[in-house]
Amino acid sequence: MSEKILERIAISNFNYRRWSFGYFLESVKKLGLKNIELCGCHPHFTSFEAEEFPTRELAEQIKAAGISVPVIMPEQNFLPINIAAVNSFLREESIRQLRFYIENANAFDCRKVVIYPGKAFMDHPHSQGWMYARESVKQLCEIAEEYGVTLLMSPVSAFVSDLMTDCKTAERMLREVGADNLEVCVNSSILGYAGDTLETYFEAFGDKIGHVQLADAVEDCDQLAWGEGNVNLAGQISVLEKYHYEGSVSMELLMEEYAEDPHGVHAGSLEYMKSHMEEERS
Amino acid sequence: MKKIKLEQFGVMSVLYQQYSLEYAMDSLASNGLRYIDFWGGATHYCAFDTPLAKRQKRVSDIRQMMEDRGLEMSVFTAEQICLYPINIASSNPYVRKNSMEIVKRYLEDTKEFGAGYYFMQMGYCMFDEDADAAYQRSIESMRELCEYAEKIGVKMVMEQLQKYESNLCYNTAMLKKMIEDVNCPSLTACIDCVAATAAGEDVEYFYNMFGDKLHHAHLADGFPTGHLCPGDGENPLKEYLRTFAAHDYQKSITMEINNQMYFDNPDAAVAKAVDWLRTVDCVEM
Repeated sequence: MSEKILERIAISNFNYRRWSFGYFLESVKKLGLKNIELCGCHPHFTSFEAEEFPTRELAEQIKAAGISVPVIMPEQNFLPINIAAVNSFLREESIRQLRFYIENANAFDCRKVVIYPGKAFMDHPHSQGWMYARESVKQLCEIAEEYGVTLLMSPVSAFVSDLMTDCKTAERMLREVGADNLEVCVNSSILGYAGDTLETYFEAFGDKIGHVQLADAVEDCDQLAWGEGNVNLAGQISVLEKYHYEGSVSMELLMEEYAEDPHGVHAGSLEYMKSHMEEERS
Repeated sequence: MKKIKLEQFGVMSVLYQQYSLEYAMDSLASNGLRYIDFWGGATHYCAFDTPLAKRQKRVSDIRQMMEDRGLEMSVFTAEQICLYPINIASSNPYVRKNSMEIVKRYLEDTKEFGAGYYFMQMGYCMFDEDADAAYQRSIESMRELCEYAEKIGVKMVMEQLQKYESNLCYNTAMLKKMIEDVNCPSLTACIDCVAATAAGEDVEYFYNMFGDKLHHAHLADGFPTGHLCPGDGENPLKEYLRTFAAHDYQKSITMEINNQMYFDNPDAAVAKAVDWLRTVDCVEM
């Protein structure tokens, strides 16, 4: 069972953003992986790269490498994208940026796009940021419906935004938006800080969990390579098995330093997991 | 003993990215600081959150907000290569052209803000691209920008980065060569005390390298990295400030507190940083 999850693990091009996309695909092949989480980051895949982004070429490049894209993850923390901004121009621009990924998903035979709640000003009423976020999410769901895309709402660490840091607030957003094509993405690195577990999410959302991101972490919540933090990753994989989770799973590493040698970091991280899983079984 | 004055210090507003700009300025002013090192990022102000037609109004509003609080801008530090798609050395002509246009507008903004300096970034290239060609593009772009800056009367500073941020300039020797290659008197060096500590260098070393071409400083604590609040790490910051004082340094110093652990309560971090300054014998409060 556990091999099954390891076999379908996806990695993201985010850490490869200082390398060409071709280098990234070669690395994925060398690691023996078949899936990627296509990150909408500069300079690989954003609307800032060209008057009209050559989506078809990128899709063909990925397909030619024999690699699938189960999920698209637009970068929404580092890039100027904020669907909860007080600034209405930035909100509209953010929706325009996210529309770019929703419209293009089908070109990658992909039906899932991850969205963040956006960031509110902490010195403004919390309800204001929440309202902007909710209205933006509704609008995005309508756009996604046109393209047959499901949006995956991702709670984030409090270091990114205080709008949605746990399972309970994600439930509230799904309830208030009330769209059939809004599901959930779980990032394991925020669980401990929020007092949640993977089980909390599976009990709350069941088959509405569309993507799981696994990262190692320490207390201040960084998304570390597997083996560098203190998360019981083998335990998390067994939770995915327990709930018969069939969706996509990615190895989510986000330390800035990893950009220098992303292949080495990902290789080490995968190796750690393989040996760890073997220990668990023996 | 020569001293550095409190009025030479500022804080980079990136620390307040989860708060409104009004809150950030209130906090800096009430903590007794004179300078804001203005971070150009969403949603405070940047090329991506303000329509062109409203840019001038936004910029003059920000200037008014500073004047209302008795603040001045030491440096306009726009988010560029680390997080945003601004890369003046890009091999993609579309990205490079847009980047140049954005930075030119930022130079104009620097003048409108009345800021001492614009924070220049040299761009980067992919690790599997031709770095020599990228270096040439970077120098050409910076020459063009410097020419424009001189025309409108704006000065610029630049610092070395980490290699994973830019492979074109990641140590002091590279920074020195780059500034010499651009060869424009308006472009001078900024010492980043975190990078210096990490490289086993210190302020005296920068004085030896740059002399009177050292025009700005980033001060942060750490182990040695982390960009922590002064006092929260183990970098020899007091020693650095004594070196600045001994050289009779008259220019601005930005406390670059930029770690997500402070983002929920930046005012407390700044209050702590100012309290720390009180404990430094060569700082005149």
